[in-house]
Amino acid sequence: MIVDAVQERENEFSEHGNCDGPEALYIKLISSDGHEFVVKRENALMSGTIKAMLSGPGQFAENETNEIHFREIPSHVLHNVCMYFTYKARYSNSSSEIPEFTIKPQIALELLMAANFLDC
Amino acid sequence: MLRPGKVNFKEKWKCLEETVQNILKLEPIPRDVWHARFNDIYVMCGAFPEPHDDKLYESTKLLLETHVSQLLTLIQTEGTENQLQHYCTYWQKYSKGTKLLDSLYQYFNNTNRAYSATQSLHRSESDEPKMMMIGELTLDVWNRIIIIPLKDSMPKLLLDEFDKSRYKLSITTPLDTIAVILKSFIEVQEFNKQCPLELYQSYFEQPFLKRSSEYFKLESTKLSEELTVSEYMTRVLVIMKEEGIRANTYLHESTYNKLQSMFREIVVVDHLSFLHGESEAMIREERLNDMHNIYLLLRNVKDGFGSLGDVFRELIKKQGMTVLESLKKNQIYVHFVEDILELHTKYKSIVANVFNNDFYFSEALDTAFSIIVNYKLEENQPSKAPEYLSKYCDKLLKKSCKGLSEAEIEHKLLQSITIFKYINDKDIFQNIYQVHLAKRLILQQSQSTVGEEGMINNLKQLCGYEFANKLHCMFTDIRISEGLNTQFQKEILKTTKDKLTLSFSANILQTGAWPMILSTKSFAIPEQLITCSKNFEDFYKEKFVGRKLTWLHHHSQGELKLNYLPKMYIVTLHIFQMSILLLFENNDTLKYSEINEILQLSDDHFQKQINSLVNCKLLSLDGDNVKLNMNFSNKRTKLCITSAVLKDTPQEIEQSTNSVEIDREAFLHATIIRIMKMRKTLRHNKLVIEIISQTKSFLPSNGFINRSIKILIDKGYLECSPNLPVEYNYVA
Repeated sequence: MIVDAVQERENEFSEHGNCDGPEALYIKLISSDGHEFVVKRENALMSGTIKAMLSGPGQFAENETNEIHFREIPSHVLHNVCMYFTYKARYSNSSSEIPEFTIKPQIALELLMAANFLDC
Repeated sequence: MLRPGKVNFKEKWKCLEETVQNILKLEPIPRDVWHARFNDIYVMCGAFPEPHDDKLYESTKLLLETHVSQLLTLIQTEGTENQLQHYCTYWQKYSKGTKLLDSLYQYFNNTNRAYSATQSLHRSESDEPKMMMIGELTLDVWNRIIIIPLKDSMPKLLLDEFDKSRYKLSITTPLDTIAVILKSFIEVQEFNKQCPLELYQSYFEQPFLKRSSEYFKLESTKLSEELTVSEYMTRVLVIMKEEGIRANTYLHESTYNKLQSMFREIVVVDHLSFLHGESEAMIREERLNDMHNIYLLLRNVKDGFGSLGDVFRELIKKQGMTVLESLKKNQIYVHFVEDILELHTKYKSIVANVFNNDFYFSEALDTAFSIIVNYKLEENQPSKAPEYLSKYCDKLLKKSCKGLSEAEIEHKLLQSITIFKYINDKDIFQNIYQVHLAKRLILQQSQSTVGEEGMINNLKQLCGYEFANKLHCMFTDIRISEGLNTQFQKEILKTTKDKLTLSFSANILQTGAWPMILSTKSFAIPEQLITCSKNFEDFYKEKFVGRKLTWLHHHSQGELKLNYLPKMYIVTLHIFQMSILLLFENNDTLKYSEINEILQLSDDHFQKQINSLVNCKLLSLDGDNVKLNMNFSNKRTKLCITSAVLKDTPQEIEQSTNSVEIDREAFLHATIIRIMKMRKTLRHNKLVIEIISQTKSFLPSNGFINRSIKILIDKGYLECSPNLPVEYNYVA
């Protein structure tokens, strides 16, 4: 299901914007096991670490800028992180009732460490 | 993978060190290397069993210090001419690099912040200094290792550059570079929340101000000896502007104010006597440029103006007196208003242009004009200003005012309000204006109701609601009377079989609203008018039961058709004149005394009427006989001879002037009681201040106020308390 969702998003992004160039709408987060997550740039910038990583030195080549390879974060954790970005973007400054963000207890510890690293 | 684990510090540091070096040199770094470093730092800080952040901090610090020392050596060996330029270049590179470094070490900073927050609770100040965040560390290193060691050479070089700019010599280092250098002193202390300008001020600003003050002293002394006051001021203002621009462009904003006030101290205040030597002459001779310059220099100096305001006021007063003394006698009121307005416009524009509408000078202008406007042209007589102003407005509002467009009339009326503001006896003006207005309304002399209403609106703001109300009442009365007259005409045609041989209309005036002086003169209405006046009275009484009508004959006028001459004439004349002529219907000659008996007028009044008729040749006087002039001829067919008898008599004006005394007294009493009722107890001085602020339509003299207070004490409204200073209590 999640894979389908991601595939769908990848098909969509040719219409809504892509990962190319410094002003791209979407960026790619790659987990340690090679799973690529495409998320909206502004959502991901909620993480201080990701923000710092994206604004470092280096040439702004076409493909280089908008991917981050997290060799330490597995996909089952990174997946939750991306969901959290969406959740936060949706409910920040919202007056409607905010549902709970559920976390499966098995991944809780790893998610905690990832959150610590990513500063979000 | 993110768990804390063993970490080989040396290995990790080797990779990190290389990246940091590259950052400082602003060399490009591949993406994944950049990303990998984040992880390295995270891992080092979370190392197990012991985190390596101390080692990380120390190593980074050492690296920075080494790098910056190298830069210092470079600067020092490359010679002083280019020192500033090199410093600037190295600084720009460094600050860019260290910003990137700060974001790279972000994890470190965040944990460090939390750590030092908890530690500071346990440790005291004397322990080893806590770790700074990397951003702060980099700036601190720069400060310690480059800026401080250069303190003997760099400030001096900076000051020299400014001096070169001042003396218009060629500068080695462009001032933009210097601006960047100065900013670096401030940015380096970014994290010093208490006084981030400390370094800037001690390192640069203080020596700069010192050097500047020396320069100003030198220049001002030199200039004041060589130049005249005017030239000195012009030159000095130019310098002030230049310095201001330089400070704003290149220095920190806080320096601007300090520089300006120091400049003023040295250049203006120290030479104040030099400037004031000429200042009075400037005003008296109206040298506008000099006046403007000296204003610009003195306006921010405390008490800088000295007695200039007084000199200015005296100048205006003198001019005003000259104008007053040379007023042309013919239609003096027009000249009074227009000449003073001309003077006022002139000086008002001077205050606006030369003195930037400064309050001090505009106050002087107002004081001068209120003296001029209220000046008593004759001894022991109240000021003529209210009378003149009212006559002026009267002239503009009458139909007979020709040669001016409507817009011009409106403009002149608006301008007359300026004079009105300065008049002290506003209530006298109100009375006279009301009398004139009554005349205009009754005799239908108004040019337009729009004009009248406009003028009332202008006065409303200054005279208050009551006065405007009274005037509006008068207008309403006239309107209602018109309606009544049409009704009367219709009724008469219905009731009486034979038509009236004359047309008749009456204006009904409310007693309170009109300033009519009830006539105590007796008068016998001519026969022809008795029937219709009686008819009208009956008509009115029927309509408004219970109201009493009193005829004011001396304000009436009529039209006569003269049929006894070859040419027919229509003459408009006052009712008294008319009644005299009507007596000649059946006789050509009558005796003087006869006429007097029939009319029952007072003697001098009668004299005036007869004289007016004789003067226009309708009658001829021959001893005691009055004859109808059968040889009367005139170019025009329609004549009006009321003007001779309807001119403003001096008694009318006097009456208006004197009646205000009673009103004023009543007003003052009411005001005092009202104030005391509110305050219960009040000192004499405060009471006087309150009274003056509440009395807008005239200026009560101190004697007047004191008398009123005495009267009220006698009447038992106030009592005087036994303490000194004098205090009053309200007695309920």
